[in-house]
Amino acid sequence: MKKVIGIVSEGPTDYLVLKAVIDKITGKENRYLPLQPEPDMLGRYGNGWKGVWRWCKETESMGMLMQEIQPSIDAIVIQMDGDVVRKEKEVHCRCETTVCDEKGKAFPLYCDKAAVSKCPVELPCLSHDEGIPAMIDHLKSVLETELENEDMAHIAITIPCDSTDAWVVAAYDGLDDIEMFQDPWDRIIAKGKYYHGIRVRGNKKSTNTYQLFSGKVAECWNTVTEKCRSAEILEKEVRRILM
Amino acid sequence: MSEMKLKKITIQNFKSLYDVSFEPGRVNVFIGANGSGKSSILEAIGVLSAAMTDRVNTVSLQRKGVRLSTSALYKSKFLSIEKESKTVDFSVGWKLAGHDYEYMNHMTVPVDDDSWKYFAESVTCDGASVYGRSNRSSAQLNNKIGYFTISEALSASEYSTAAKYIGDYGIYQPDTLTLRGTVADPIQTNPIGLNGGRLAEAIQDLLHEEGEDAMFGSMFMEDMLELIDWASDFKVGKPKKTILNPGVPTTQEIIEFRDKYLKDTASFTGYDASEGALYVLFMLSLAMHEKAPKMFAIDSFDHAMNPRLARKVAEVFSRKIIEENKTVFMTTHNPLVLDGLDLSNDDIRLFTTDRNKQGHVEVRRVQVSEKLLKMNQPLSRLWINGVLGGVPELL
Repeated sequence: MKKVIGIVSEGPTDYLVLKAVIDKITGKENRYLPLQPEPDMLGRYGNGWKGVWRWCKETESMGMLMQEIQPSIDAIVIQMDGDVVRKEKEVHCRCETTVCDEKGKAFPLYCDKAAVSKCPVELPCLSHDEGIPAMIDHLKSVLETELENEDMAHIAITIPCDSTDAWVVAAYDGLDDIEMFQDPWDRIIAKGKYYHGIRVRGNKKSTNTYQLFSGKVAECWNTVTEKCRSAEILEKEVRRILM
Repeated sequence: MSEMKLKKITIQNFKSLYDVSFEPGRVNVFIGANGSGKSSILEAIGVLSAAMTDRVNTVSLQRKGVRLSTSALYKSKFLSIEKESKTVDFSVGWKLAGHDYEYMNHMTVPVDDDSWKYFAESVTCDGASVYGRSNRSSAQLNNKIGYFTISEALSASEYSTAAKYIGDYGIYQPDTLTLRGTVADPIQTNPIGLNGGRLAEAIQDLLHEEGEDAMFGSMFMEDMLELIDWASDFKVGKPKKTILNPGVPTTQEIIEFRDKYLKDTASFTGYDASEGALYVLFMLSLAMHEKAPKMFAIDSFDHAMNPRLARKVAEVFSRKIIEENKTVFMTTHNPLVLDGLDLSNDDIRLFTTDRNKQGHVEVRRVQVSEKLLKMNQPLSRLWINGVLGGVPELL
């Protein structure tokens, strides 16, 4: 019987990578349910990192969703890219160093100040250490805040750094410290028209291209986990929730 | 004799259905992304029906509404298959009068003409063999004809009941022009064609009075009119110049509607009526007409219906199918159809179709607890949110 895994991701290309990688880690084909981005009839969550965060905030009882439908969902994997930490003010709203009269009152994505670009958060946020582990810990805690009532035994959070694109570069190029490299899509993968013989269409991350990339990430997963702390953590998490 | 009930259907090596089996109820709803194999399931049941009760060739498949493919494409052609199976395999199990029956067959697709050949077929009752033949049998039998309806070993009435139930199967795909009566139905069957031909005549059969109540089949006319909320009445009659433009092609009998917002003199026909009303009449005629097949399929159940209407029709239609001891297989892309299904009733079953890594279709029955449904989680929402499966992965 295949395991059923719900994926909450920033976008379809992340979904493809996670599917391929989880199959690789578990050593078998699983069945995946794309829960996010934006599957809702009203499109209320949106896509990208905001969609993932909103999904975590708004989904009432994941435990019930997982258990009350047959075939039941065995696990949920939630993904948000690490670049959000350095780029987005809202995820630092509740940080120690943030001084704001709205702090703690509203869910950061619904804050009026953020909506009119008056968010007082300064980046980089000084509340955290520098480096990948701190980046991952912070975003994980941001999402976990929304999941405080959930039993995390079958829920995993993954924070690819700087993004899942870094795992692609790790797989193809085996670069050290690739996680510290900002915007690997623009600066490495989409720099030319072809990346390792695969046609790349500028800013557009096509799912067809990513079908190929995700296969390579899974194939070279050992290298990816050696080069990327975030990948190593995902492997441990997948083993924790599924094996 | 208790009513016939299907228990299990298995399809192997047919188109994208490499190895599929499921346990149907009375009302079976298939949801899935475009190209996920929903229609192939309806077609496979069509081939199975023809194979069991007749023969499989162009004519018999067309009569059941199965799309005709080239011979090679009937068999699964997946990249992952190293050694192709010789045969396409089907089986159906059912319960009747307290006994469990199963029909199995293995067929080869046409090579030199349009007839499928029977490689083997067998029938069991309560696990014991009742009939069987294969191309190794000593008796030389016609390998282009199914023997279920002609074998003496299967002459008892329970087998003819099963043959009638399964053999009348057809895939209905109503189409607006045919329902309006302006084009002929290419596959006219009794009482309604697969595209909706002769709907007026079928409706005429269902209209009657019980005491002082006007009825449409087993429904009170006023309940029926709740589904066609703009109409105050409908009946069947001959075409007249006063209600239908003489330039419009028509059928011998036509449906005549009265609109509750118009004067009584302003009747009009199915040609001018909202197409939704015709689809509602079509669905419920199929469900209630005594001569309509006991087992049939509807591809795109929700076609032309407002989502809320589709929800209500799904609810009423399911109830009628169960009351009439029929079996229906239907596909839909409309989430609200799901909200019309009472999944707490085991006769009503929801299935998702998905393609696996190799492209093989996988069919799964979905069951949702009452607790979840009561917690503001209607099936439509669960489907759209991706929790049930049966959605395109990357859109």
